[in-house]
Amino acid sequence: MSANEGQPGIAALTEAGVKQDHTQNQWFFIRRQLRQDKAALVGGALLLLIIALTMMADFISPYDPLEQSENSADLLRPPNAEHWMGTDDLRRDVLSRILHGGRTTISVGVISITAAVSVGLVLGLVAGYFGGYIDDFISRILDILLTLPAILLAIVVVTILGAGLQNAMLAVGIASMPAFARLVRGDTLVEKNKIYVEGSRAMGASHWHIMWQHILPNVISSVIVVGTLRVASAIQIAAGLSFLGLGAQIPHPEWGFMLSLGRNYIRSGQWWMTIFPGLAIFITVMCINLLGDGLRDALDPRLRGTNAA
Amino acid sequence: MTVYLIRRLLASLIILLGVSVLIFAMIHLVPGDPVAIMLHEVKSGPGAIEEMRRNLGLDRPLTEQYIFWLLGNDYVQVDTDGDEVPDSYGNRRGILRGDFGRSIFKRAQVIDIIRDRFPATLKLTVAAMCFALPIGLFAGIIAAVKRETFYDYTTMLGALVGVSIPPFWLGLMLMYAFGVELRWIRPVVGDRGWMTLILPTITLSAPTIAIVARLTRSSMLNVLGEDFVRTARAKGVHEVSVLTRHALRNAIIPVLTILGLQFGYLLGGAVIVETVFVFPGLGREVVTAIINRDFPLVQGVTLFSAALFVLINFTVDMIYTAVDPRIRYA
Repeated sequence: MSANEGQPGIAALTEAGVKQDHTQNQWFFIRRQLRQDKAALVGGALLLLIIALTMMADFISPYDPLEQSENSADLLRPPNAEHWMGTDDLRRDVLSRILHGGRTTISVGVISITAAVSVGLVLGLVAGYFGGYIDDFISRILDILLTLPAILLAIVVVTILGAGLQNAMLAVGIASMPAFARLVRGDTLVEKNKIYVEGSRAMGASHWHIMWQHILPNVISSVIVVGTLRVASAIQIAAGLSFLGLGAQIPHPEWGFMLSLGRNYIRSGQWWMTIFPGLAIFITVMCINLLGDGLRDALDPRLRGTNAA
Repeated sequence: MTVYLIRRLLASLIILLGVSVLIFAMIHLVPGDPVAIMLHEVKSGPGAIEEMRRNLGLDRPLTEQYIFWLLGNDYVQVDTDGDEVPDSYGNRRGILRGDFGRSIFKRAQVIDIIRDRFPATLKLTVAAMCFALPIGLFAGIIAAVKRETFYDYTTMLGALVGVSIPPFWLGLMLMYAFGVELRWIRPVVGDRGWMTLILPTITLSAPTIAIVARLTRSSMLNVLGEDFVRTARAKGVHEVSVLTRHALRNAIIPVLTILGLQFGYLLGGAVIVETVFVFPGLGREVVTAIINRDFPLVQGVTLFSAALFVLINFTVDMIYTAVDPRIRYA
C-alpha cells in the first residue's frame, strides 16, 4: 500500500509540476539570453529581412527572372541605374534572379535539414532508449554514413539518383542525418536514467509515451541549436552541388547555379554575375551562423565553444 | 594498449566493410540499368545487353557479385556459354587487390586513374592543412590570451567569416582579384608550379583555419583557468613557456581530435576547389565521372576516400597516446 501511495507523488512531480515549470523557466531564460546577445539579434533580424525579400520576390523584383531583355546593350552589362546588379550572359536581370533564386536556395537548406532532423530524431531516440542490439545496429549504420564527409556522401547520393534539385535536397538531408541521430542518441542515453523516466515507467507509461512526452522535450534544445547551424552548412553544400552542376538545372535561378554560370566570365572581368549570388549565400549563411551561435549560448551552455556545425 | 589498438583496428575494418557494401549497393540501386547506360555509349546491336550482363556477371546473385567484386574471381572457373565446359578463369582481382574495374569513359583502370590523380589532391590537402594549422592555432591562442579585447573580437569575426564563406565563391573572388585585376598570379588555373597552388590552398583552408582558431580559443580558455597554469606562473615560469609548454600541450587535444575529421572535409572540399581552379586532382575527376555516370570510377574514388579517411582517424587516435600521457588505453 505504501508503495502505491508513493506513485501519485512522483506522477504529480513528473507530469505537471517539474516539467511545466522547467519548460516555462527555460523559455523565459532563453528569451532573456537572446535579447542580450546583440550579434544573434542582428543575425536573426537580417535573416528575417532576407527571407521576407525572397518571399516577396514576385512583387518587388524589377524584372522577370527568366525574361531575356530585347535590348542588345543588356548583354553582360555592369551594374547601372536600370539593372542594379547588372545583367547576365542571356540579358537577364541579376537582381531579379537573386531575389527569386533565394527562395530555392534557402528552402533547400531548411527542407533538407527538417527531413534530416525528423529521421535522425527518431533513430537517435530509439537507439538511445532501447539500447542493446537495436542501438548496435543503428549506431553501426551511422558510423558507416559518418565515414564519408558530407559533401562526398551527398555526391554519392546524387550519383545514384541523378542530378537535380530534389535529389540534391535528399542528398544533403541524408548526409546531415547521422549527426542528429548521434546527438539525440547521446542525450537520450543520459536522460533515460533520470528519475522522471523511472517515475513514469513506474506509473505504467508506455515506451512510446516516455520517449515522446518525457525524453524528447529534454533533448530537443541541442537539436534546435545543431539544426540551426546545420541549415547554414546545408545551404553551402546544396549551393556547392548546384555549382558543380549536380543540383539546380537550367533555367532555374538558384544562387549556387548562378555562380557556376558566372564562373565562365570571371576571367574576362565580368565580376557581377559571380559576386552578387556569392555574397547572397555568404550573408545568409553568416546570419544563420550568428543566430545559431546565439541559440547555442542561450539554450545549451554545454555546447558553448564547441563547433557543432 | 595493444588490445586497444587491435580492437580499434578491427572496428575500422568493419566500418570499411560496411562502406564497401554501401558503395557496392550503390550501383545496384541506380534507377535504370547501368549496362543499358554503358551500352548506349558504344552503340550496340540487339541482344548485346543480355550478353554484356552475362559477361559482367550481373546475372548472378547479389551476394556472389559482392564477393567477386571484393575478392576477385580469378580463382573461379568461368563458363559463359553454359556448355558445362569451363572456358577460362575469371578476370577480376577484386577491390582488395586494387582492382576497382575499368572506367566506362576513360578506357583505363580506375586504380590507374586514382594513382594518376591522387598526388595532386594530396598535395593540395597537405598544403591546406600545413597552412591552416599554424595560423588557426596562433590566432586561437592569442584570442584566448587577449580575451575580450579588440584582437579577440576581430579573430572571432574572422572565424565566423571563414566558416560562412562559400569556398567556391572565395576561390572565384581570389581568382578575380589576384589573377584578373592585380595580375599577381599568372597562370591562375591548373597545376603548373607552386604559384598555382597558392590560391587553391587559401580557398581550401579557410574553413579549417576558422574551426581550428575557434576550438583552440575555447580549449585554451578552459586550460588557462586551471590550477597548474597558476602554479606555473607562481613559480615564475616565463609566460611564453607557460602558454606553450603548460597550457597548449593540454589545450591541443580537442584540436587534434578534429584534425582527422578536417582532413576528411579537406578531401571533400577539394572536389569544389579543384573544379574552381581546374586543378587536375581526384575531385575534378569524380565530378566529371558523375556527370558522365561513370559508376566504376565514382565507386573507386569514393571507396578510396573513405578508406583514407578511416585510416587518418585511426592514426589520429593513435597520436593521442603520444601527446597526452593521461590517455593510456588498457
